[in-house]
Amino acid sequence: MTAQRISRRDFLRISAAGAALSVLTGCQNPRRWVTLEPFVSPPEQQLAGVPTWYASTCRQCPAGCGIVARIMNGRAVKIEGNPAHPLNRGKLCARGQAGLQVLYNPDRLQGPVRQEGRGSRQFQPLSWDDALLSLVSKLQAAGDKVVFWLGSTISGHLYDLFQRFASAINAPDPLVFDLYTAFNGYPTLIQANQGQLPAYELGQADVVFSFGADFLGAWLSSTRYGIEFGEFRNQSLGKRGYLVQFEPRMSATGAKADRWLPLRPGAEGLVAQAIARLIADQGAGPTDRVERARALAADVDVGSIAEASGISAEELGRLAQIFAQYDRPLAIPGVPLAGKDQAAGIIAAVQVLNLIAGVAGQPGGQELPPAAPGLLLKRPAISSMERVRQVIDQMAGGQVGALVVYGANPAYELPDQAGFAGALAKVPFVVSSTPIIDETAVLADLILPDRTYLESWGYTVVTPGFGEMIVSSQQPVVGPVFDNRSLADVLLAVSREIPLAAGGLPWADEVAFLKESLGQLAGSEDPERFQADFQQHGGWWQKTAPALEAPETSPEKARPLSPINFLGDEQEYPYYLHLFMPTLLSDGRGASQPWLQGSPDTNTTISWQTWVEISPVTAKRLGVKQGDIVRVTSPAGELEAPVYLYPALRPDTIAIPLGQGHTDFGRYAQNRGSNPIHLLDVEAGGAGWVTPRVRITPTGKRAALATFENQVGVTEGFINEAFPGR
Amino acid sequence: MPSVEKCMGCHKTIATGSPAIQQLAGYWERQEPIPWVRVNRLPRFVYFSHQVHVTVANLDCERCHGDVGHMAEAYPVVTMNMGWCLNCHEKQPNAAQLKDCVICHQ
Amino acid sequence: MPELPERKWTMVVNLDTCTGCNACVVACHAENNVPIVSEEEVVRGRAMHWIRIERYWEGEWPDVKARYIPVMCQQCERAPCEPVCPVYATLHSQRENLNLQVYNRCVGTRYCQNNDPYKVRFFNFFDPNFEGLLKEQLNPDVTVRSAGVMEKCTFCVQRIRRSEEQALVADRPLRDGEVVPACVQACPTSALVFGDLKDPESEATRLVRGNQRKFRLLEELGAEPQVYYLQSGHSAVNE
Repeated sequence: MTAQRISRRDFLRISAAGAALSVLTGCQNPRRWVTLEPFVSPPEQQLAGVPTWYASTCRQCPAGCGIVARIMNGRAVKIEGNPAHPLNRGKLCARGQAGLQVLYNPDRLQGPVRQEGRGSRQFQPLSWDDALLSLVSKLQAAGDKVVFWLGSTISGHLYDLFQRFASAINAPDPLVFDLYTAFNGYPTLIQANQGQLPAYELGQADVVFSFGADFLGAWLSSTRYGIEFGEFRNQSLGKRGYLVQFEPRMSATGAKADRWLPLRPGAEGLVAQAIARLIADQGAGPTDRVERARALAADVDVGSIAEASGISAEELGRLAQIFAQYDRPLAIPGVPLAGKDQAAGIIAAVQVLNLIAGVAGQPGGQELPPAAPGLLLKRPAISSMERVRQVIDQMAGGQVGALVVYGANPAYELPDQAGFAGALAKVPFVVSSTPIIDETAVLADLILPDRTYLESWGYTVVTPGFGEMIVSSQQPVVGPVFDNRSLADVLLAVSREIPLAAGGLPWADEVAFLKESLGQLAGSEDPERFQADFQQHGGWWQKTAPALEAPETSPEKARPLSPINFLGDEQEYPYYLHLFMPTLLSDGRGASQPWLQGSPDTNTTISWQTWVEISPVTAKRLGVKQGDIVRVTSPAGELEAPVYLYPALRPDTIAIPLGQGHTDFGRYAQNRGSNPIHLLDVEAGGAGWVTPRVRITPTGKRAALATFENQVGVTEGFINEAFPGR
Repeated sequence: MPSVEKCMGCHKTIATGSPAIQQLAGYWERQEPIPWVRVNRLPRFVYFSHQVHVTVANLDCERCHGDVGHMAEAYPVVTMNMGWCLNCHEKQPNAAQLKDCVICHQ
Repeated sequence: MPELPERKWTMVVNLDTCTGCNACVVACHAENNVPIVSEEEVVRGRAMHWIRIERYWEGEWPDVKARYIPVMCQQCERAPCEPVCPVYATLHSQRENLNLQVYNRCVGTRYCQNNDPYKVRFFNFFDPNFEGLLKEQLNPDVTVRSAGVMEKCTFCVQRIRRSEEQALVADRPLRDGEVVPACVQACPTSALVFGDLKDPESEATRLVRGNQRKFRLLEELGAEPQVYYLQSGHSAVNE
C-alpha cells in the first residue's frame, strides 16, 4: 500500500484527483484516511468522473483508422474506433485497442539520453537544450550527408518537414522503410497499381480468390478488410460471398475460406496464370471474358503448373469455371509472394484475372486509384528494397555522416545478412527518436524520445480510401506524459540553428506548420472553424473524383512466369520456409505491449513466445513432438524454438511467426523468442527478399508452450525445468 | 474536488483575510495540490452515482452529507456502509430491484 | 424511484463472420481491467481472458478446416456456478438477467469455476501487476480485482448500468443498440450483436427469432445460456 501511495503521488501531476483511487486494487482493506488531491489547474474540458472523447488517428500500422479516446480525469482509459470515420466506421482491431500501452508503457524514456559507447546500454540523461545543441553540431558536421530513415506510420506533416529539411540541406530524400510495409510488399503493390496501394471492395464481391493475401490478419488494413468481410458474408437478399484461399499455411483468412488450397510456396502466380489460361481455353463464363482471357492469358502449360503447385488440373478447371461464371469475381494478390523475387510478375498475373473479369473500377471489384488528388498534403512514399540496399552500402562506404531514425527499427527489421549493423558502425553520428530503447537505439549515440501518437499532432492521407478521399486528423488526446518534445518541434528548432535549413522551415512551431498545411482543405470555410471541425470529427473526407482508367493490358502481363527461386539446396535444406506476420505483434512493434504479448494467437493459442509450426505428418517423420525445441537452419541463419504441430500446413513447409526475438524494446519484449527474419536473405542489387529453404534438427530439449488451449503432459516439474530460477 | 484554480477564481478577492483562505492561496502560489482529507468515503468496489440520487430520487445533499454549511469542520453524519445504503433502498416502492447487487457492485 | 424494466440481455455471435482477429479480446482487457498473465503462469493454465477465441481443427491434411468460436460467460438463466457459491458472491440479477460476481464477497473457494461447464470463470492467483504508468490505463468504472477473487465476463455491466442510468435521468426508455459491450463495439466484421430479448424489435431478437442457424453451447445441460451462436452458412456456388 505504501509503495502504491508513492507512485500515485508521482503520477498525480499528470492525472486527476478522485481518479487516482481506482488505481488501488479493489478488494483490499480500506485505509482509514484517504486524501483527495485535485489538480492545481485542471486539464482542459475535464470534469472529474465525466468522460471526454477526443478523435485522432491510430498509428499502430500505416492504414490510418480513425479512433476516439475516452479520457477520464485526464487519463486515456480506452481507445475505440471513430464511428464517423469512413475507413473503419467505429471498428478497431486488437493493435489499435492496445495503443494505450504505447502511451503508458512503463519503459518509456522520460527525456533525451546519450549513449557513451554504442551498444553499451549506458544511457546518460541530458537536458533538451544540451541534446538539441549536440544534434545541431553533429548535423552541421555531416553537411549534406544526412540520411533520414523513417517508418511508414509517420504523420504526413512530419514527413513533409523531414523532406523539406533534407532538401534544404541538400541531403537525399528521406527513406521510408519498416518491416510492416516491406513484408507486406507495399512497394511492389504500389508500383503495380498506378502509384497507390490497391483497395479491394470484397464487401460486394460474389467470389474472391485470394492468392496468399491474409487480408483478415495483419495486411493492408485488418479493420477495413474485416468490415468488408462481414459485408461479403452478409450481402443483400441473403447472398453470401464465396472465398477461395491459396496459401501453404492456413492463415486466419484461410480458416474462413470456403475452399482452402495449400499450394506449393511461390506457386501463387503460376496458379493465377493457369486459371486465366483455362478461362480462355475452356471458354468459361461470358464471351467478353473469354475474349479478354484469350488476349491476356499467358501461354502456360496447365499440366506442369498443376504439378508445380500441387493443385490438380481438374481442380484448376473447376476454379476457372467458378471465377469466370459469377458476376463479381475478384482476385487479390497477397503477402508472401509480394516479398519473393518475382513479386511484380506474380502481382501482375493475379491482376490479369481482374482484368479478364472486368471488375476493375466496378462495385465489388478492385478500386481504381482516384484521379490526381490535388492535395499538397503528404503521404510517406514507401522506399524500395533497392533504395535500402543503396543506403546501407553508402553507410558502409563511409558516405553517410549522420543517420536520423524515426518510427523504424532497422536493426531489428532487417536480416543480419543485409549488413545494417556493420554499416551503421561506419556512420559517425546516429540519432533515434524511439520512445522506448529498441535495437536501433542501442546502436545510436543520442536518443531524443518523441511523444507517442496519442500525445501528438498530425494527419494521415488515407490511401486507399475505398471510394473516399480521407485526411484523418491526429491530435493529443492527453497532455504529454513526460517532458518529451515532439520531433517536429525538434526539427524546427534545429533548422533555425543551421543556416542552410533556416529558410526552408520558417514556421514558429509544429502547430503553425500543421495549420498552414491543412489550410488548403478549408476551401471557402473559415480556417479556424475548419481546424476545429477537423480535429473534433477526426478528419476531413469526401467522395473521390472520377477514378483513373483501368490499367492498360500490355503483352508484358502475358509473359509466363517461371517457378520461384528458393535459396538453398533442396537436398541440404529440404523444407520451404514460410514466415508470417501474426495479427497481434505484427512486425514486432507490438511486442512491447502486454495486451498484444499476452493475448493468444488465434490458431495456436500461444502467447509470449516464438514457435515453429510443423505439420504433424512431418513431425512424425522427424520424430518430434509438440514442445520439442528444434533448430531451424537456413543458408542465411538459424534459430531455435519449440514445435507447434499445425495440421493446416504443407508437410514440405515450415512456418514461423515474426514479432519476437527482441534484444531490447522494453521489459515485455526483451529476450523473448527468436526473430526469424535473420533466416532470410536480401538479394544483392535486387528488389526483394529471397525466401530460403531450411533444415530442421531436433535439439533434444523441450520447452513449455504458453498455450491457452489445454496441453497434455505439462507438469509442475516440467514447468520448473522450463523456467529455472523463478 | 474542484481544482485549486477554481477555488482561487473567487478567493483571489473574497475573504482573503481568513487564515484558511491564506492557506489555500499558499497552495496556489506553490502550485501544489491540496491534500484534502476525505470525509465520506466508499470502498473502491462500490459504484455510486450522485446524478441518479439527486435527479431521479430527488434527495437533498443534507440527507447524506449533513448540514455542511453550518459545520466548522466537515465531519461524516452517517456511516456509509452497505447496511445504510440498503436501509434506504428497502423503503423504495421497487425495493426488490434496488436490492439487486449489480446496482452498486460492478 | 420509477420501476426499472426487466431485461434479457443476450449476445448473438455469428460464427460465419468471426475471423478470430482478437479485437474483442484486447478490447475486453482494456475495458474491464483484466490483467495480463505472465508466460510462466500461462503455462500453468492461469491465463485470464474474459472472452477467448476457441479454435477447432477439423479433418485431416489436406482437407483441414479451422473453426473459431468466441466464448465469453454465457450468462445462464439457470447457471450451474451460482448454487455452489457458499457466500453468495456468485448470484443472479433477476431484473438484468445477468450472472453476477460480487468481488468483495468472494472468498476464493473456486467452487463456481469447478461447476462452470463453459470454463469462463478466472481466478486471480496473484494481485494484478499493472507496472509503472500502466495503472493509468485502468477503467475507473470497473473494480480492479485483487488476489483470491474470481472474475468473469459481465456483459460490460458497467456500460449497461451507465446507459440505463442515463435513460433514467433523461426519463426515456433505453434504445436498442445503446448498450454496446466493448467486444461488440470493436468487432470489425460485426460478428457480435448485443441486445435485449425482451425488446421484440431489437436486432438481437430479430437475429435469434426463428433462425435455423442458431444454437447454444452445451444446450443439453439445461443451463439456459444467453449467448446464441449462428452456424457458418454456405454460398450458392457449385463446388
